Amino acid sequence: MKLRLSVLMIAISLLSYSCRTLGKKDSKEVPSSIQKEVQVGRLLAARLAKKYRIIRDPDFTIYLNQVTSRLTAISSRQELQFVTGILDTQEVNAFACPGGYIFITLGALQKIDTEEELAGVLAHEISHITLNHSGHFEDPEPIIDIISQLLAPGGDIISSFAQNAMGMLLDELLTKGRSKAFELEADKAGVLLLAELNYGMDSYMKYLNKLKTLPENQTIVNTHPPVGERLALLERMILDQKLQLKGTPQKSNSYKTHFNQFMKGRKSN
Amino acid sequence: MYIKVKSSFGDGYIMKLFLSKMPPGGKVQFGSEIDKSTSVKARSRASSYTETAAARGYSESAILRTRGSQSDYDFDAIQWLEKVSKMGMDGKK
Repeated sequence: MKLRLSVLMIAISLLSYSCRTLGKKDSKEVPSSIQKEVQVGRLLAARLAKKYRIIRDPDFTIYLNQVTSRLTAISSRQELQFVTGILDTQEVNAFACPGGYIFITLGALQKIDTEEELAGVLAHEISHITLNHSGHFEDPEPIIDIISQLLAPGGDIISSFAQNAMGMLLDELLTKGRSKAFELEADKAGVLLLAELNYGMDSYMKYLNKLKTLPENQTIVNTHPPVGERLALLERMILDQKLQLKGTPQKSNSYKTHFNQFMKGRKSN
Repeated sequence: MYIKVKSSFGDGYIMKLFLSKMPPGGKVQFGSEIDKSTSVKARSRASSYTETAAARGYSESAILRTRGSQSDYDFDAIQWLEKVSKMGMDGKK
């Protein structure tokens, strides 16, 4: 009897808690689905950080984040704080986790020659996040989640929902790849974002051209559509929409300056 | 890539990339500034344990250790990244 009463009390408190939570809706309050998106993205980011190791070079990381914030300043996801980090691997790739976490590999940074090319790679990843290519994050069973939180001995900050979502996304990033339609859409959106900031669209195409010669054991080859198809689609879009291929010429190559300093620092360590 | 929008200002086309579902102003906060993660903040109402643990200064990895998953995640690296990225946005070096 006592047990039944306790269960009933817990159920009532849970219901009232969830009603209070669901009932509150300030127009500026970040919805729970976006909070969830950040939670899942952060979890995925921590997983990638463990798998590849993040290179902790503050100066170069600050530079990468400055280029990222220039691009995200005009994006629609102003509620997110975008973060870009370097993964310590020779694989040539970049990853976008939901919630604003972006990673670029050391291998990719070595292929890049200018800030415009870097902006192109980042714009592609930002587009994946902005266009919600990882899906929307509505928790189907929030009550179960809360109950499991309360019953877990010692507590638990990873909900089963977040853990499952993260597992699927990890598989998508490293093995299966996103859908072809999403990759092509991110390419198109990325170059349009570049154009808005007067970066040359051709810079991203130059970078894609460098990926043509990558060996088949590289993850990016198996998780993205063929480079030739991606380039053809971009060329068609630029022609159809009569877009300006070249951006404002850069006075100096700040990317090379920052990158060389970064590599010098790595060698001396 | 473009979608049609109707508004009192007028009808037109806008790039999907620039259409926000949120009104300006709201922002999801990371935990780096207050040394308390988004996950912990989001969970604090549901689990007093995590809140207490965070208040005592345990890292997320330490909290995760209660579940034996610490070998899969590096939250310390993510916290470092969040801090450094914020420095970049504030223009500090």
